[in-house]
Amino acid sequence: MQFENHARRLRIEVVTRLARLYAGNRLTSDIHKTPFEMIPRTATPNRCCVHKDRAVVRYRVLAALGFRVEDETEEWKSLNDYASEALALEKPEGPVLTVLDTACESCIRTHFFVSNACRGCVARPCTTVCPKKAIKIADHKARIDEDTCINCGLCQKACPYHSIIRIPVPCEESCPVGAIKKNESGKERIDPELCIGCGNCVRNCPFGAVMERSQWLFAGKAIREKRHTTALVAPAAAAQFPGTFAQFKTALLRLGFTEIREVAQGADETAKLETAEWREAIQEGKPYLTSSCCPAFAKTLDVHLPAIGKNRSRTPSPMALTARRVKSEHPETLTVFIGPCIAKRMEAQNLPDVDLVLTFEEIGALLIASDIDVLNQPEAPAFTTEASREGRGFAASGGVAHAIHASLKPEDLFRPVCIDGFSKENYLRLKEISKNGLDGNYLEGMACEGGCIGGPGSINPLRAAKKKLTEQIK
Amino acid sequence: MPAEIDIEICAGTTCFVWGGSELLLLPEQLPGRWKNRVNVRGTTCLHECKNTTLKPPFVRINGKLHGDMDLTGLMTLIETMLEDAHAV
Repeated sequence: MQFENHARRLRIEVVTRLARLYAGNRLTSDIHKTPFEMIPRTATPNRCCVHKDRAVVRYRVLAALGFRVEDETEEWKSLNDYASEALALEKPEGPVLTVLDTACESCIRTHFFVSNACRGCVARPCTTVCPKKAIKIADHKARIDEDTCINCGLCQKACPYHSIIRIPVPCEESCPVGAIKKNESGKERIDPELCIGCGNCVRNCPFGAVMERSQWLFAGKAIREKRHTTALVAPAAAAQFPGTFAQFKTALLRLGFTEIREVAQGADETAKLETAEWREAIQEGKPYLTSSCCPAFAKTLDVHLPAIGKNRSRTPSPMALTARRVKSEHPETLTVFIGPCIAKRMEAQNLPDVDLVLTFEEIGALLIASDIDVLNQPEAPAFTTEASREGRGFAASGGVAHAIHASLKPEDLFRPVCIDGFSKENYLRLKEISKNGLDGNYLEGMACEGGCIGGPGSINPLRAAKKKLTEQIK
Repeated sequence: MPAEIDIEICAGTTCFVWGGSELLLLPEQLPGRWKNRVNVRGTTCLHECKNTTLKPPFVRINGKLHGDMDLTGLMTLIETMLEDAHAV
């Protein structure tokens, strides 16, 4: 779906409103007003009525406080009580995504439908091509019997009037690994074992019914309690906010982070270790090595494509290495990764050194609530050790392979293949690699098109982000 | 000759996060025939997010404020203004 849409704006509006309430010390007293303030009775409803819209906002608020909507048992509980409960937590545990069943439209399962462009022609190729004889002509129009139809799509290809359309279920269609499916009542459910955290369902549900369980509140609380906090800033940050990366650093310091660390430094370390791992793997006779810094790609290989998974790199990700270093220097610090990624939240659950993961949308909401305008900030001084251009380049597809290539010798014969996002075509390509092997000796995989700069928690459209990253790391 | 339409797109953090980032792509969306008639610039925060009941992102066109803007809406506005100017 298009980057900018109303479902995305609604999501950002909810987090911004909550962050403002928290900044004004009104979270536990006024949060119950949010659905009413966002949807006043004079509003034109998006759904059947303002009451349903408000009910959906209520669940958006729960997700924005970090709760899993599926876990709700006390439907009558007020949002003020939920806010108090959230404030007593360290951070949310369990699955990173939640489906708002009230918002889920229970789309009819993916099916083919004969539109009124059907002329009821004499040739009727749809009826002859159908292997199940599921198409009958009635009242001069083709009709598909849904019980018999197997969704093969041959009728659609055969119709000379293009009158047969395929109506998908957008979330299921966008999930590359089949992790989101209908339950017995037609509502979508995510299987956390299968989910790779790519965030495609969040981006593609036209009703905004899938949300991430936010962690902004827990970072905000630690800052307010004056705990030692370290922001681990992903390389993709250079392509996100207006102004320069150095201005963004100042903005984070003003927000209250004690220290800022560039994850691109960890990327330099990852590149070094992965280069050594690649050399060793090839010498040992392995056909190829894959990257593993994209957590959605890594989980895909482990769970869904084990034939590729056995060649997966075991080098820790830039986030893991940066966090490990920071914790060894300041064991008491609370590490907050700031990036474009939902899957990093899954990765962090297995890393004791990463405490919280915030998206650019969430950090944006915190900056707005504290009236910090990035463009108006002075530039922060440079880091003691600056990351390399290659480390910063991890933010875009091809960046990891490029960094490894840069540290090799020509005789190493490095032949990388890059998977730029889990589009249908690219995922089929991966399945083919899984079956037939790789024509190359290194596989870089990014679940998001464009790489991390195209992640689901980004605030800059990919086209603008690509341009900005090039300017910032030149 | 100055451009007929002067557009300021707010690049303050609030507007940018709420969708203003996409509005800043306007210059590359403008058809060639409009380029001399429309002047587009990004500005620092217009401070409208606190003064009005409108929602971000904000755009100021020939001094008039427009809120809750998206790229398609902005293109339609420009087109209408240019057509009106032509009609006069």
